[in-house]
This record gives sequence, structure tokens and C-alpha cells, in this order.
Amino acid sequence: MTRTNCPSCGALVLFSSQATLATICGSCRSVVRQVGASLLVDAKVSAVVEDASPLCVGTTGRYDSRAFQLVGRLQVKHAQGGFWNEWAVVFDDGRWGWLGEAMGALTMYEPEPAGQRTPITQGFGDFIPGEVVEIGQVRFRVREAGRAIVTGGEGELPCAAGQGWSLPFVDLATHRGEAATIDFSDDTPEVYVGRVVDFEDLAFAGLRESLPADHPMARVANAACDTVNCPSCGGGLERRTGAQAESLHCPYCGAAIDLTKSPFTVFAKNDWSGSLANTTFKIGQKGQLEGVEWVVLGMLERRLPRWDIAWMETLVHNDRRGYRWLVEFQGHYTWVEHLNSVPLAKVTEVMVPAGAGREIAPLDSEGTTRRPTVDTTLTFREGGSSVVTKVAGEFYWKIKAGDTAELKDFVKPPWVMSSEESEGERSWSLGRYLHRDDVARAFGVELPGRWGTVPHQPPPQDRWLKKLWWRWLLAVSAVVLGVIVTAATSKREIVVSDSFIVPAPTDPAVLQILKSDPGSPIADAYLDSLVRWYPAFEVPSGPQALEVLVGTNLNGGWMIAHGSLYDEEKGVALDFQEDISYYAGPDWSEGSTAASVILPSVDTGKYSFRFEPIFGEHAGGDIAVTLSVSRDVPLHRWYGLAFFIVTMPLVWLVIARIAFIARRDKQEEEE
Amino acid sequence: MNWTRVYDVLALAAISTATVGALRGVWTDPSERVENLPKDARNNPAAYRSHYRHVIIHGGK
Repeated sequence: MTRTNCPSCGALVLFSSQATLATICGSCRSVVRQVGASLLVDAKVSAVVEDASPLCVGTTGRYDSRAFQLVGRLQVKHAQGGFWNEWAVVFDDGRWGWLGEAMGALTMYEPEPAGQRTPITQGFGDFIPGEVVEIGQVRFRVREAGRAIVTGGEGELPCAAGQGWSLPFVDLATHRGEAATIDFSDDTPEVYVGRVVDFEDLAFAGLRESLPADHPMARVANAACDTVNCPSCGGGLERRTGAQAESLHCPYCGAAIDLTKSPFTVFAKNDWSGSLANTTFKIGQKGQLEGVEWVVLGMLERRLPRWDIAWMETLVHNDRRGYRWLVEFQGHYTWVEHLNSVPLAKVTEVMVPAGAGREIAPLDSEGTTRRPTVDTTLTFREGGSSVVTKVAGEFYWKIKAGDTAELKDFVKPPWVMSSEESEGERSWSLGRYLHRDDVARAFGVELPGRWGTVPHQPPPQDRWLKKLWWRWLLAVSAVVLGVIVTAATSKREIVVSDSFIVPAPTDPAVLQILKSDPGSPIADAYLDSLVRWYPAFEVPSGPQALEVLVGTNLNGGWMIAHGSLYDEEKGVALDFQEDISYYAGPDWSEGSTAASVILPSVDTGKYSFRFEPIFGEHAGGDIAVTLSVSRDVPLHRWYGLAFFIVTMPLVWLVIARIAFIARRDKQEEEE
Repeated sequence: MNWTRVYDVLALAAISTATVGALRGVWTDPSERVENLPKDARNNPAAYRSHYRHVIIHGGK
């Protein structure tokens, strides 16, 4: 670290790293450049303006396993409005880079390594948005070829840049989150490569919120706001995002105030009816989503004149996460983030770029989906020309009532990716359907009623299915366990086993008697002759369940099986009967050739089994019968019933889900 | 209404009932109990005919 004095004012200035080429004097704003042993002052630069950034000079972090520190920054303003921070980064390996911070989104860039630099043969004006440019064997697409100027700076810089310095740049990105920028501010274009990064991934420490309250850069997250007086009516308006805000809309007179240059001016007058006073959310209101606090900055109403539908878009802000939109349509809510990566778009499909949706995905604690993967494909659903009809609050661009944009929505519930094209610029956003209960809980508000469906609305049954799925699994596991335990503890011992023939009655006299007088002694004698008694067996440790299985070769006929368990000691019998019939044609059949009878609760005792077949009719003549009686059989049908009871609610939910999807898709097709 | 709680109760009741029912041998019993049969019913067809014959053919006599 080198401490020296500013050649211009004599104040102390630091060169803390070998990467530092220039340092900005905090006293006189000179850009002090170190050339050999000499210090030169080439230019001056203004102090940075308040922009609600959570970062500050001195903040440390980690990127790709390397520690880094923010040593300085430039505030640059886009030629078409809007500005961002370029934080000078020094890594612990001595290399340096830039951390771009725009609208809360972060992109880390580093110069291409020496010896691997991509020669840029195209001139600045030759780059066309959308064109493919190969840098370091990566195919990027041009996002923008724009110009910016330096408006402020602080700390140490790896370059010398003064107030108003022009920075022509070409921004490039890939679908997978890689980013590059070509800096045309020097004669030889310089290429920087890197990627879009998440705030949490950089493991920041020493953030601005940790500065002591009396520090000039101290700011408590989301708490600070300054006051702007409306140039039209003099009303006092709050501005919460400092210099990030480019327009502010007076709620008293409807003036659209341009905040990009001082003194502030009115650039449009909204046709103000005051109707935005009754919106669900209020400017300045706070809510908790994604685990952080958001503050409502502004809201606008958009309309699709073609279908005469309108919706509300509420802009919210968090120091670390930047901006989100809460879109409200017919009581349905969508949480939307602006995309910095470029999605891979075809005519009817678009693929989610890397990293997108990472933070907005898990915000629904009872949600049904994981974050989208880089290859999640959304399908074009609808589009049209929209117009802003009402607007209130502060925004990061100059918006006014009457602004139009071409919208296209691509959907894969619960995701919706939208492109918005206006004045030759195309921006992308990714939204996630948000359950109204989560919205109400997050902002502590009563929500208006909901009606209809929206294309990206997930089936409401998913919430219950997700909750019930593991419960069902647990219940079915218990059922299976019950089956296994009862099967294992039941002996299922066969105590009677036999095969025999039931002869078809052929004696005409018997046949006549059976038909005309079945109770006659002759009929009884015939039926008695068919009765079969089996040796007595014990039923220990009763009550036990017994199962009688009767199999036949019936085909086009019927018979009746009478069974009895006869307890000789007690003179008691348990009688049962089962009709068995089976008929079949070439392509049909009815009945069954077998029957099973469960006697669920047979007391302890010694029983004889009596079997009495009644021949009904049989196209094949004699009936072959197989008979078995088992004791101590498990009553699995109880568990079958339990399975049915625990499964039916889920079956009902699945059917309702299918019906919902059909209804939702049909509604969209009709529209 | 907390439907997950309702489901929990339903599932618990179903499984408990199934377990108790299976262990205690509770189910619809298809049999008729015939009492006061002679001890030699096995050898005396006239004394014990099946319930079906007793009720349907002989009219319960």
C-alpha cells in the first residue's frame, strides 16, 4: 500500500494495490494517476450520488474461490438514461476486474488473460443486437451496443477516467449466464468476460449497512429516502432509490417528473383520475418475500386494447435483490424478475437462461415446483400491444401514461416469461405464479376476489397433493406393513384338501322329483348321497379366520356349494353357501368358476367340515370340484379397505387437477 | 379447514381400524349358526341337513 499526497490539494490518497492505476482524491475529486514514480492529475470526477446500493468501497467477498475487495467505483450513465455502478475489484491473486451493478443485478467481469485476448476486428458501430460474436470459443449474442458517460467516482481504479468520459460499449451474453463486454473507450477495444452472479453467491462482508451511522456512505437498507418537491404543484414526494429512480409521478397533480437531470422537470402530465389511490398495495408499503423485505415504489396499470383487459404492475425494491414486479390480474398474482441473461428464443418457444428464477422460485413455502432449469422450455401463449393507462410512484426509467409496448408471453406453469419490445429495445422477464395466500401474508393485506384462470396458474390441487403425497406414502407403508405382519403371523394351514366329481343327475325319476318335490325323501336321499364329511380338525387359539376355497371346471353352468363347520361336542354348526356360476361366449364371460368364503371369527374348538354340492346345470355334464379349507388365514381385506380410504382423496385430487388443466387450457384457447 | 389434518385423522383411523379388525377377526360373517344338533349328526343325515335345505327346501321345518 502506498500513501501519498494528492498533487492537486495535498490530501492523503492511497494506492493499495499494484492493480491500482489511479485513485480519486476524496477532497478535491482529482483523478490522481501513478506513472512510475510520478503522480499526475489528468481529470476530476464528481462524487457519487446516492443510489441505494448495498455495496461500498471496502466491501469484501469471494468469487470463484478467490477473495476480492471493492476498491473503487465509477458511476456511469447510459446515453438513453439510467445509470449503474462499475465497482473496481481487486482479487487476492493480484488480478482485477469490474463488478457491474445495474438495477440490483450483478455481473462480474475480468479482462481476458494475456495471450488469450480475442482480437476485435469490427468497429463499434458494426455490432447489431442479436448477432453472434465468438469470444474465447464461447458464442455470445450482442445484447446492446450503447454509450455511457462517467458521472461520478470514488476510491481506486484500474484505469484513469474522468468526469464525462465517454464509454462506448458492446454488451454480450449467453443463454447460460456468461457475459462479456467490449470496451471501445480506447483506440484498441478491450474485452472483459465473466458471468451474471447472485448477491448471495459472492459472500459479501463489510457491506454498507455495516458502516457506522455517522459514516458519509452509511445507509440503512430500505429505510432511507429523500424528498423531492413536485415541480408542478410543489407537493413533497418521497424518493426511495436515490439516483436509480429516473421518474417520479406526483400523486397530487399527476405530473411525471424527470429525475435524471437537475433541476427536476415535468416531462409529461398523466391523465390523472386518482383511481390508483385504491390499489391493493400502497407506495411505501413493505412486504416479506424471498426472505427479504421489499418496499413498494410505484405501480402502473397496463391495458391490452385488443382484448380490453387491464392489469396492475406494482414495482418493489430491495437493496440487495434490486427490483421485482408484482403483477395482479383478476385476483391472480405473479412475482416477476427482470432478466439480465438472454433467453434462447424461437418463434413459439423460449428457454429459461441460466440462473433465472433462482430467487423467485422457492418463495412459495407451500409451492409445487422447483426452480426452472436452464433448459426449461416455455411455450408462446399470447401477445399484443399494451398501453400504460395509469402510473404512480417512482420508476427506474422514464415512464408515462400512454407508453406502448409489444408483449409476448411464454408459459409453462407456474412460470411465465415475457418479452417487452419498445422503441427497438427488447427486455425479458421471468414470472412465477404466486398463491394469493402468500401475497396476503407477505404484505399483510386483504386481497380482492379472484376469478377465472391465467395461463401460468398451476393447478390449485398441487398444493394439497404436495402436502398429502408423503402422508399417503406413509399411510400406504403402514398398510403394507400391516399386510406383511399379519401374513407373517398367520399360519394359513390347510386342514381340508380334496378333489372330486359332482355327477350330473341322470335318473329321470330323480330329476322329476327334484323339480316337482325337492323336499321329498327321495330328493333328500339323493342330496344326502352327495354330502362329504371330512376328518375333524382343531382350531386352537381362536377366534381365527378360516377360508374355504372352491374351484370348479364350470363352463356354461352353475352349482351351489354348501359348507358347514360342525362342532360335534357343542352340537353347533356354522353353515354357509355360495353360488358358483360361469357362462362365456366368444367375446364375453360372466361369473367365476371359483369361490372363496371367509369365516372371519371361528372360536377355539374341534370341527368337522361338511360339504354339500347342489348340481344346478352344466353344459359339460359332471362338475369337477377342488376344495380346500385353511385355518388361521390373514384378513387382508381390512388393509384393502384402509388402502382405498387413504387413496381416494388423492385420486379425487388428481381427477380435479386434470379437470382444472383442461378448463384452464380451454379458456385460453377460447380467448 | 385444515384438510391435511383431516387427512391425517382419516388415515390414522383407517389404519388403526384395519389393524384392530384384522387382529380380532372382525368382518362380515356369511355363516348361519345352527344349534342343538345331535352329536351324531355326521352319521344321521336326516338330523342335520344344510341350512339351505333346511330353510329353502323344507321351509324351515
